[in-house]
Amino acid sequence: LSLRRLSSVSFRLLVESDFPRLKATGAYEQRSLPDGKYNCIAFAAGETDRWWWPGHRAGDYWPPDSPREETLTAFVSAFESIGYSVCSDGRAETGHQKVVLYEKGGKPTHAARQEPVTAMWLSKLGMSYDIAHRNAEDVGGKCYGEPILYLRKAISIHMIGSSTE
Amino acid sequence: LQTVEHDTLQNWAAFARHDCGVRDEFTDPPGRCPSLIARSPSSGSDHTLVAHSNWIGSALAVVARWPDHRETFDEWDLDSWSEPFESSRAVGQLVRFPKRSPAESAVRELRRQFGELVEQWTTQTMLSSSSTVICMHPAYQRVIGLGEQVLPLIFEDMMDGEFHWSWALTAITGENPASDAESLQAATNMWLQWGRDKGLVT
Repeated sequence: LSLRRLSSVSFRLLVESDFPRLKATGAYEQRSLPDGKYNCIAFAAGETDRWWWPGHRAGDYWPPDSPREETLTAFVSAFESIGYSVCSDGRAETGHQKVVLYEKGGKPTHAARQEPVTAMWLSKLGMSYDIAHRNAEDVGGKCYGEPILYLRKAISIHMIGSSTE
Repeated sequence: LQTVEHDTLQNWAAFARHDCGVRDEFTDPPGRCPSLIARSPSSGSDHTLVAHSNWIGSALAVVARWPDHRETFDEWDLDSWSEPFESSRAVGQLVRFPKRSPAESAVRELRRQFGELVEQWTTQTMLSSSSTVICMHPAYQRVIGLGEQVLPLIFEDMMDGEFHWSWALTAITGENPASDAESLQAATNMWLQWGRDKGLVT
């Protein structure tokens, strides 16, 4: 997103108009300025310099061994390729990093990553801001649908310290 | 630079006719910005006086500039004109500049159209992570539909920090110099280099 256009977008207005649950709880905070170089899938995977999507546009990145299709199976495969495996829920677990996938209309729309120390969820909102929010469901609704599946991977102590990557 | 204050478009127009010898009236671009052409009493040459009233017609601003201030006028441009003015009292500056050529008007109209489409696209896709949603958005597709004439504006937008034009560029040009790019930043850089090679990036 062009810096010129981004400067005209109010963070609070954007968040509270499109995510009524965040507005209701008030339990969220801005963690970055807008950046169109990476998206929520990349951010959940721990990257901030690539746009992860199984598309065919120049510059889209997708793990080479994962199906290049917009299905939950393909997204699970993408996270499995970096060490995640499916788990039952989003409760914080010592020694594990968790990711949640969202689905709307049968297609993956969003991913968020849990911050191990605080158990807050970290979301990159499309081309715009990174935010922290208390519950995975808080960014659910008309925009991203609902959380559909959780994954986790083991992390070591030194990784916890650099969990925001 | 002469500043005038008038309550209504009619009052301002009367002033313009009386003091500046307005001789014609036209709209440029169509339906957007009523303008008046006037003959300068001092130089005798024709100039365009641009007038704008907001949607409820209660406010008016009139700005024109001497030719050597024209770049300043361009900064205001038509998007600025479309902002409603807070006061119902018309305040404007009366200046003069040469009438635009048809080619210049076409460029300005293209820029306006591109700006509107990009704003729609940005507003409606900025929360999406899906490249499909982003590139298939109707406004993005309409930018593609503008064809090769829009390439300089796309490159300008890329220089301004927009990373999502590679799909449109391939659709318009039929080329893909960034096919190996593994990031949007890399794809943008490759396309900008392509644009420089073609003389489309200034």
